[in-house]
Amino acid sequence: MVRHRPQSGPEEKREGREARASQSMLVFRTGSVLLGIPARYVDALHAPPQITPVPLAPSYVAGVAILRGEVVPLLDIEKFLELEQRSEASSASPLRQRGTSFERVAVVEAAGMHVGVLCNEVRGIIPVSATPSAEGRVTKGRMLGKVVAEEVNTEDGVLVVLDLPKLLEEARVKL
Amino acid sequence: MTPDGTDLFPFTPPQGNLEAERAEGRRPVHVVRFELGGVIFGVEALAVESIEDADAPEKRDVTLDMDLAMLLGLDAPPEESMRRAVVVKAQQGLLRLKVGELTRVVSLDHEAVHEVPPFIGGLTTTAGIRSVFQGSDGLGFVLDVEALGSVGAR
Repeated sequence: MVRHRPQSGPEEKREGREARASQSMLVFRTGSVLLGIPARYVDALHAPPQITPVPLAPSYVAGVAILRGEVVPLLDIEKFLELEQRSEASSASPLRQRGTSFERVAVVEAAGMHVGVLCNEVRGIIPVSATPSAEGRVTKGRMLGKVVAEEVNTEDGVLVVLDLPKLLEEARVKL
Repeated sequence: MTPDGTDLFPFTPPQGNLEAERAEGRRPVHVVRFELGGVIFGVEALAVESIEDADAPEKRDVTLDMDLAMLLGLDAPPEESMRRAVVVKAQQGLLRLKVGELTRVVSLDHEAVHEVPPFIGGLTTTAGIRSVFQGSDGLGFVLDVEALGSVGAR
């Protein structure tokens, strides 16, 4: 488990004619999409835990797990955002549990909720200095478009920064 | 009652007042534990009236005979494994829940019982989940018999 200590917040720096934000983010790839969660929402990164399925939960709720003594619901973000399923090779990973393949659990907190997000291809919590991308280049017309904060160009391609409070509110299991 | 978790058939209803315990804010520490479709469940022992053979003739005063696996959207367990029925007291009357063989009372430390996380809070109503408990073999769900009665009645 990697405990993350959020830093003081986004740093502003000037490059060229316009101000660009450099912000620490948890960056990971899901399906073919590069996703980012601002680090201020990230509490910890864990190895895959034992998962207990939850009756009557939507399919994107992978289950619950005990993480640092707390019961944490697990969000299969790939299923929730209706992103492409991973390749057969990665689906055969020994980390595959209950039809879900993932490498890490990022425990995040927003909107009064503590949730474990199942992540693949985690790049880590890294500073992202980027330029805004054309709006909707990746997210237009997709479920992802409802929970995006912004899309930015990075060296690895377009990074979709998630609006985490909105994402958790959208995914929350309601009455 | 066998707090060490041994099988307790036939069941002797424990003495106590469930409503009073809840009103005092005490969490349930004794639950009748069972498995269904690979998932562990428990109901508060003080709500349990009896545990009986599943194929025993129904008591006349049972209000609702519930197929819990179907109600909770679980894979239907083989019929032959559903050998016990837990009869619980609810506002609606007596509910008879058909469950698997592993029916026992477990004693839980308060620290082992957790509130349902807000992210899945909706399941307290739809699935009748009162809390989540940490047992020796993983997590389980304490079912709220009143909510089950409401769901079953629908």
